[in-house]
Amino acid sequence: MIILILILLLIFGAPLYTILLGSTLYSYQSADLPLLIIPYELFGMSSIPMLMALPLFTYAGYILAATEAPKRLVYLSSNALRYIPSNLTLLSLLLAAFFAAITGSSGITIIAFGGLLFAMLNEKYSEDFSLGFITTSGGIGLLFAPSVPMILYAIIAGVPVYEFFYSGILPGLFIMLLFYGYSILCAKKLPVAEKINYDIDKDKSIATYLEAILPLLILLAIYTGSLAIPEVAAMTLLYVVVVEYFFSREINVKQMLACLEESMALVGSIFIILGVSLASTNFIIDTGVPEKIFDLLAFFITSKASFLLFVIFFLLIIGAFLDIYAAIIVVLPILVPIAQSFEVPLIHLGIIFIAVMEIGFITPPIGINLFIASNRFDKSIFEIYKTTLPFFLLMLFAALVIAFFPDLFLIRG
Amino acid sequence: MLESFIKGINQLEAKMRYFELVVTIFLIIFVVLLVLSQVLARNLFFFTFEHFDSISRLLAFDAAMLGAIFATRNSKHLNIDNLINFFKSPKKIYIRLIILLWCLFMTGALFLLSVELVLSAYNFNDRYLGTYPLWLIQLILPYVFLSMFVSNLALLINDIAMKMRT
Repeated sequence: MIILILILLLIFGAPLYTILLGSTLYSYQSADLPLLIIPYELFGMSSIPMLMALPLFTYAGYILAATEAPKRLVYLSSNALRYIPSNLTLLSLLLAAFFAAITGSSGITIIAFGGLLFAMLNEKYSEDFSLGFITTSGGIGLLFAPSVPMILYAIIAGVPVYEFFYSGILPGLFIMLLFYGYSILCAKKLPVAEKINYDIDKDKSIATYLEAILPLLILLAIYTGSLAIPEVAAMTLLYVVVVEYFFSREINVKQMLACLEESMALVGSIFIILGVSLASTNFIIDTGVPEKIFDLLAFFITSKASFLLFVIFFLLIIGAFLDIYAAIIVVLPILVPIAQSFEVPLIHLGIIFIAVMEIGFITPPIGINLFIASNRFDKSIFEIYKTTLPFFLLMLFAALVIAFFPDLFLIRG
Repeated sequence: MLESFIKGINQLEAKMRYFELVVTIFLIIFVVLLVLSQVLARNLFFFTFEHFDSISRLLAFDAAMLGAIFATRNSKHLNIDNLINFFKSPKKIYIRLIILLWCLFMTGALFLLSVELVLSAYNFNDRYLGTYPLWLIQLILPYVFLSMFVSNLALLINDIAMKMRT
């Protein structure tokens, strides 16, 4: 009865943390365990080092997205890449990757760059291609450092975050390459693009160049290991605030406060689910739920390959309903012990997890990016379904290849 | 009577919002400053401040927990809200009221549990980093859940008042 009520509340839009809390309270009460563990676990998060990076990276990303920086980056990189065939799609992929990685949200790319890139792409590609491409490319960056979902996965699965970042490079590039190759096939005409006449405002030229080197600085700091990831996050935030407030002067204190409220709301909603789920995870593990699920699955899933297929299928469904953070926090604690029993390395599982969740954003009927794009471009949701289908299939193909040929992709840090 | 109660709770909420935003911005500034000084000290002067990492983690945690209040206030908590869009308006309002009532109950429970946690740390004289009273640092939790409770209450009452007016 209680479970039914919780499911109904979940379907009707109750916040996920309340559902988790309800089920945890009920489980603890039934097992006569002290409820004090719940706030204890919540407070215990303050000692997890990597978690500190989440609010800082997210806030920096929101500030960048609130300025004209995306527009400047589009023009600047478009001219820099103009001798490369199908340069606009490559540019879209790179920018989407950077923004998705730093904000942890693929939807923000559609909002920040969508209008501008759509207009530019539409000149060289069909409208369907342009729409589908922008809607789907936002998720690709989640496999690159400093991807916030990757940090969260590393914390929960207990894998070294640097190694996980290294392992994400080739799968991320593989998906980008598939998209890029497809864009070349779909181009109306392939000659290289002309130079875009865009005069950078002299007052903003320093800001533009400082913004342009930011992705390189972040990657350099992370991959050389010169700074710890929370330190990179804090330095990124400081850099973004200085550049946007003092050099580009496109954001004032009031707007920064609005960005703070919005970004912290996202991070806060993740933290509270994480805290409650840490308490429920203990209960799940103590009562042997993963083993029971494993025993149940053993009837249908007999090999590592069938397990990987099951994971992809399962995550596709989950990804259409749940946000990536919620999925990582809720699903992972159950999935990890099962994956270990099938001898799937947790880093490999993590790459599959993130890659499939990227597809979840565009999985009909309710993938979140489909709704954002429908709203942003004022198109019906069915039109968006149609335009994203080829990209959905490309990403699914990529996920299958990554799942079944891990040796081609996973590199060690 | 109801109108003045609604006005009172909305005013209280507005003051809390302002206070929380100011605290959050200061927390983030402190985190960045602590990290910056740690990075500079390590790379330029070859030493590290002993507790800076732990304190900056704690401050970032506090900022994120305050973010949970913003998420409540702006209805931004992670949920599955796609399905509710299939319901028509009058039914939607009743569902929203039920959800808010449920959230009110849950945040109330979290508030009571976190008060219990603080009292327990106080009674056992637990220390943070071996020096500072832990209960003082844990006070963030009851505050966050109290504020979330008030926000849910304000949302619920405003919705009921709107329904009564229509």
